[in-house]
Amino acid sequence: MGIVFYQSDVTMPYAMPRMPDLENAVLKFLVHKIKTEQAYAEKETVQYYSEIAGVYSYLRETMGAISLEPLKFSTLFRQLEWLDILVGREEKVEADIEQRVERKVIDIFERIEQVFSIYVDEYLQRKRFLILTTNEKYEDELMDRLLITERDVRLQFKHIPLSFEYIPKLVETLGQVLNPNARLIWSRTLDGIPTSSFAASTT
Amino acid sequence: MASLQAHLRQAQHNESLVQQLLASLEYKDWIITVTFYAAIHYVEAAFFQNPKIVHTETSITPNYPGGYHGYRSDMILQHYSEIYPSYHKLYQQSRIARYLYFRAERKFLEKPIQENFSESDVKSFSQKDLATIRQSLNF
Repeated sequence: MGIVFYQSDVTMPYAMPRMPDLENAVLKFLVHKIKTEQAYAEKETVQYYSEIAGVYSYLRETMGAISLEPLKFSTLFRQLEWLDILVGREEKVEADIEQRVERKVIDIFERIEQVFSIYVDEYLQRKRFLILTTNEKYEDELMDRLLITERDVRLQFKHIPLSFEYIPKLVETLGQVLNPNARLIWSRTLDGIPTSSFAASTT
Repeated sequence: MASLQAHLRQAQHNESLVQQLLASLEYKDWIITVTFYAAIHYVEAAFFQNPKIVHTETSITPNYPGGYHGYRSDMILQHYSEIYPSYHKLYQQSRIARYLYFRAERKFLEKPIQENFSESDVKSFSQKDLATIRQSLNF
C-alpha cells in the first residue's frame, strides 16, 4: 500500500491528500500493532503506541488546517512520507517474519520422524500450526519431544502469538486436515521423502 | 480474583483427588482432567505471587489472542518456560479427554478415551508433569 502525495509549489497546484486513505493507512497500522502486540504490552510498547497515537493526532490536526493554510503542507508532507515508509516497511517485515516462523517450524519439526505433515491457519488471532503425526494412540515420549520443540520455537519468536496442536493418526487418511482454511506447508510422502512449500527450504 | 491461598488449597485438593483416582485407574479421563485442574491452580498461584503478571480471568483484555488459555500460555513461556511442556501437555490432553475431539481438525475420537491412554501415561501426567509444575513453582 502506498500513499502518494505531491508537494505544492508556486506553479502547480498540489493534489490534496485524501483523508480516508490516510486514516485507513494509519488505523490499519495501529489496529494491527494493537492486535499483535497488546499481548506483550510492556512499558516500551505502551510508549511506542503513545508516540504513534501522537503522530496520528498531529496529522489529523494538520490535515484539518491544510485547507485553511496551505503553507503548512511541507511539514505535513514530511510526516506523511515518514508514515508511508513506516507502513510499507511494517508490511514487508510482517511477511518476512511469517515466512521465518514457518521455515523454523518446518526445519525443527521435520527432524521428528513421527511428524508427517504441517499445516498452518489462524485461530483466535494466533498463527496456529497443526502438526499431524503418525502415532495411532497417545505416546508420552513423542509428546514431550513435540512440546519441547514447540517451546523452543516460541522462545525464538516470543512476540508473535503462536499456538500448536498435535493430531495423531486416529482415523481416515494420514496427513489430511478437514479445516478448509488450513494451508499445507510441509509434508512427508509415504516413502518418507519430505516436501515443502518453500522452494529454498533446507528439506 | 481468588487469593493465593485459595488457589493453593484448590490445587492441593485436586491433586489429592488425583491420588485417589490413581489407586484404581478406572477413570483415566478424570485423572487427566483433574490433574490439569490441579496444574492450573498452581500456575495461577504463581501468577498471584509474580508482580509482573496480572491475574488471568479478571485482568486480561477481552481480545487477547487465544483468550485466557493464550494468556496463560504466554506468561508461562515468558516467566516459567521450564514448565511449558508439562503444562501444555496436561492442557491439550485434558481437553481431548473432556471433549473427545481434536479442535483444529474437528476430528472425533472413534474409540473410548480410556483406550487412547495407557496406565503409565496417566500416572506420568501426575507423577511427572504435575510434579514438575508444582516443584518448579516452589509449592
